[in-house]
Amino acid sequence: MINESVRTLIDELLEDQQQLTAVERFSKFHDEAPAVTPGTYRDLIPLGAPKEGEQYAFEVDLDACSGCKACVVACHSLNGLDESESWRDIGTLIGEKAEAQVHQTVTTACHHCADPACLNGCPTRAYEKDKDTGVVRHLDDQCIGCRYCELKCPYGVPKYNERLGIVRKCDMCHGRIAQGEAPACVQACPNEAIKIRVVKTAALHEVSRIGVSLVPGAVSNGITVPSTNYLNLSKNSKAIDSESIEPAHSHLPLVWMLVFTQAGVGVMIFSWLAGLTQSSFSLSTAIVGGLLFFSGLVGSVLHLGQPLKAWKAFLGWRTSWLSREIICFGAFGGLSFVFIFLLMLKPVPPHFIGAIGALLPVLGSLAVWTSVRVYSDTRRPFWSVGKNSLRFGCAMLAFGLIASPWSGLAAIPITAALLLDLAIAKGAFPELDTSTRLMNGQLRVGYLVRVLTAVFAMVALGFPVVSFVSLLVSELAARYLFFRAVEEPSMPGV
Amino acid sequence: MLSNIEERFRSHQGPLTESLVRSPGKFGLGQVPVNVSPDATTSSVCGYCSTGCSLKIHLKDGQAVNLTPDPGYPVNRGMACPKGWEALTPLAATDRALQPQIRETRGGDLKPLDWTGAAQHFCERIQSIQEAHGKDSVAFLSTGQICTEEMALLGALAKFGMGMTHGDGNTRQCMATAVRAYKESFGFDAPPYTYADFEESDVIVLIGSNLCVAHPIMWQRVLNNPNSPEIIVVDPRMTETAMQATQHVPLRPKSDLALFYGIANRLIQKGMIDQDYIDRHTSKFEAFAAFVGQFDLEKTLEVSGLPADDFERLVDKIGMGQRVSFWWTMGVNQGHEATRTAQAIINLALMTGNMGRPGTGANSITGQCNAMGSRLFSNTTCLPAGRAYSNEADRQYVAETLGIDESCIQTEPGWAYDQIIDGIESGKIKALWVIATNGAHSWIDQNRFRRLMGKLDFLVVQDIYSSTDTAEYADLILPAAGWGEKEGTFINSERRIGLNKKVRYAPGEALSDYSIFRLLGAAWGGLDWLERWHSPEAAFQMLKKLSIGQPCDFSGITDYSMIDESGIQWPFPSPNDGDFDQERRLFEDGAFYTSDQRAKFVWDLPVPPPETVSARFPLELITGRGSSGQWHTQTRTGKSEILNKINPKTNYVEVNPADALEMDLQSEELVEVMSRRGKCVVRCVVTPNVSRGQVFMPMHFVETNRLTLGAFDPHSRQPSYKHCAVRIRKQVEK
Repeated sequence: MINESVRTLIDELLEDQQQLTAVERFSKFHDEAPAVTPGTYRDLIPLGAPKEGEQYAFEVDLDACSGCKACVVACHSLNGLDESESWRDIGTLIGEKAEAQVHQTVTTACHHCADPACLNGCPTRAYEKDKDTGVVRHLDDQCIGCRYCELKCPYGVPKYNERLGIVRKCDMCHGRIAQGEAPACVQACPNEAIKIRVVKTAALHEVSRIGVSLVPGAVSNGITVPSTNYLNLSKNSKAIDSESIEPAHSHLPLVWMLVFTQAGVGVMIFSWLAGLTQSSFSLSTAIVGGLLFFSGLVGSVLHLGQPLKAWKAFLGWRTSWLSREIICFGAFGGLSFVFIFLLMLKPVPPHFIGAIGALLPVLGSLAVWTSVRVYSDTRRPFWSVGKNSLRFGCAMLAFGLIASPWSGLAAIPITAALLLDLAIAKGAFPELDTSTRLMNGQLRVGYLVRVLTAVFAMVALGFPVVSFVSLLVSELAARYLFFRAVEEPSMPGV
Repeated sequence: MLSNIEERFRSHQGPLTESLVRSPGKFGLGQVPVNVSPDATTSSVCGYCSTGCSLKIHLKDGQAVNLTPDPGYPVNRGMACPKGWEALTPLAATDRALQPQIRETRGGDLKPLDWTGAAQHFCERIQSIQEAHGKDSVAFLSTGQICTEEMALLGALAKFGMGMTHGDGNTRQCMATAVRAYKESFGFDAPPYTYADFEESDVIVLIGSNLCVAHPIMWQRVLNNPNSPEIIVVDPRMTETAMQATQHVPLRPKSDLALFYGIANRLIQKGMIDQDYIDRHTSKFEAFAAFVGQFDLEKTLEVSGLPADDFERLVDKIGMGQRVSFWWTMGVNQGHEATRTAQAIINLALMTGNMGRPGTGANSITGQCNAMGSRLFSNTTCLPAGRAYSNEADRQYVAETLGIDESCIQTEPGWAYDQIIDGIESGKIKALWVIATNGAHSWIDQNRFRRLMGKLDFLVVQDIYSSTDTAEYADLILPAAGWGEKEGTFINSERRIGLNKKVRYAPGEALSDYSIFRLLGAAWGGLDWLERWHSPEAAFQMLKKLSIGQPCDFSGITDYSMIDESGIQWPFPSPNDGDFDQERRLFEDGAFYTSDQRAKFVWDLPVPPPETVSARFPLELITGRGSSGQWHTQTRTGKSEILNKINPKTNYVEVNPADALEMDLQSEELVEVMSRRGKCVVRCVVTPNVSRGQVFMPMHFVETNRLTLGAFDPHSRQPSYKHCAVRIRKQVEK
């Protein structure tokens, strides 16, 4: 049935399919076409640059927005972003009460805050707030991929790019604005719902002081003083995903890092204390403490997207608790090394070692304190200063005590920290409802491991090694819950 | 000083920063990412919906690397919806069909074969089935997604060449009602409007249309209206569009026909009709007026569930508007009495004289990118260019133009989609050829459809993906090139013929549908007349000839290059002086395509929907479009990560808070939705935007059509997707 002419036709068709002729056949018209500058949006961007005390800001008219979401895709396409990457997000608001019919789409990008949490938290100063425009820019080549800004930004703006190992974010297409072009999202909106405006930063601070939030469900503006203005926001609305409860990212290297550094600090401190009281320092205990601590540090470096640039992390010490944590951990690491080195040198007199070692509890507590602040600085209630102090401080004490002659006393800090988790799981903190539900729901297994191994660690205190290992497991589970059961503040989702 | 030292350790430049550098745009573009900076541009009409936006394709070495909406095109003026922006991405999906594949045993694995083998297998199987069971035992199901030239070639090949009597398109699912309504009322399937009408109305009535989400770029035209128009949205749900309306009319589901008759009656009572227009340009008004007398205020309010004040406000706005335009979409077309409902809208426009003037019209907004091409040229419900199978002169003209024997042309239209499916059940249809549509997801009462696919002796699926729900049942898969990988024309909602260009290499051995039809025709044997179809543009010239003398005459278009810049609306007969308006509406002279040149009032008594709620199934299920980033069964849009980001991730059912309270349902929990035909487990979204007793599910997820009821409008045979009875239960965690 298939003859030679059909075979020839098939070959011809296959060959023809691989010829692209659009340019040849139609280029004439397109070459001659007058350049149509995308300039119809002149009134969507300001005529002049911001003056002193002013900055650029997004203004979104929710009534003009029809919910087409082209802004998200245009941002992706016009900025050459990765396949799933866009610096705009989209969410939906619906009526909060039965009688309120609301359906509004909320498009959201970086709010170019007057007091940017990302910038303040960045350990390498990879953010800068442009003096002239107020645009919060991210210096991609300065970023070490620590992802702390993801935790710091209460709007979920900076997003980690796995391929590149750094975070990227909206820069308001300031390069376009400088050329008189509108940002990608502004260009793409069929309804002119997104505009760039010049706003007074003092006015932003003023509005933020009265405790408003950008949209229902978002955090109070007071945290970062965002500049975006949403017009025509429906009253009595809520995010359509407000009841959605999903565990947050587990950050496993950080789980490891927190537990092992705290264990290491505790063991080091108590090896010194025990040495003081017994007039002889135990080299092996100090080495165990040192190894624990350093294995924790390895975890912290491993989680970086750009570990080779990690040395830059001291740059942010003025504002960043993460930077301070890294500095303190470095100092404690150095001190531990000296302490162990001195112990190994037989001729060094014990009182000299004792004096040097006195720095261990000072620097160690300071280091753990910076860890407390790193997370409390995100302003998430689950990670408050008090709760983090209890969690991290008790861990440090418990590990140290188990490895000391007074191991029986470890039951006190173990119980104290355990009670916090039990209280949260039992719903003692209404503001932590999400965490409570996660610990009893999707994270139930982790929670059970945490509780049972902590109890076992106390039961087994007579066998310090067994108890210590059990507590390690318990604290790892606790830090896992620490990251996964936290409620992440965000803008409305879809 | 410390600060200065610190500053030295900050990198403002480097490879990561450079990867996002943008270069100044050439070719009238703004700044573009430097890695996809074009060396040439061209334009192409989008391949998703019927708006017909033009996309400026950025080319590098002849191949598309990026796109932006075309600012110079009269339709979209530099804008596109997310699907258009992402039109190139689904072409690079990993599940593209790369070579023909055959499944030797049901449920077995697919095995690749070459085109020669595939063509031979196709012809042998189809011919042997036709020999055993008759030529009409093989049918095809086509689409509104391929080029006009392709669907015309398919229609000619399948019907005139292969002798298939029955073939239909997935346009049956979206536009059949409008076709039927226009044919009867206007004498031809002729949507009368141009998009400028959105901008020129003072009252815009949107009926069963969520324009903001389904046709975002048409909504742009609404917002361009300088007259601060009244925007009335008639829809049971508080949709995105209803949110934007000046009046939302939340009628009870399926009360639309009675409501429109009630409005007509009230307009007559109030004297708000254009008697002069009625007298000069319409027929059968008196009988219609007498008929609607029974739809008095009381009855209308009772049936529609509307408060009297709202109803009166609605009537007054329609009656007092100077330029009232009526626009409808699937909320009307997909109903059990859809044709009469569409005609009830047409009646309102006619009786108020809102026709043929700027900002007026009874306007059906189309669904798919080339549903309009399918309506005219698919050779399913009518001969090409809207000619009639039953008309001997038409048959002769078609035969002569295509160089075929007139005896090849059937004298009756073949079966509609639902009749073909019934034919499989009854054993009359033994083989099915499915082109660019995904019935195993989209057809109503899906479980039955899937069962019947298994009953076929031979199922051929021609698609750009080998992974569609329907392809899972296929015995033979023919790999097609997609939008952007081939050439041809689309016709948009406002009758504008626009051009598609080949700007991407098709993967593997995928071929354009046009080429596939050509090679199957050649392999079939004895079809020498197919030589006339040697290229899409040659086909275009034949289609022009076929359109001569018809209302859709576009013979004045010389060739593809003439429509490259702005597209051209039909009618565009020859000769013309080449000087024409880019925005043209029909019936400005009041002359319709009926034999007496008068538009006809058509009506029928409303009947209740075929499935009403009961104690067992107490909720009315409405289905519809979910978000603007989703297209139909998502075989394409689901392949774009960025679209997935803006779309709901999983299927859901919207439930009114009062109903949710009664059933103890919370947002985000999984619930079981069940109808008499099937069930599924989906996420619950509690929202006051659906009324009590009603629930809504988006059509883009595969589960939804397991529930829907296989009911059809008797005139258009379009499925009634918008209404069936369901129940919801809390899903007990296992």
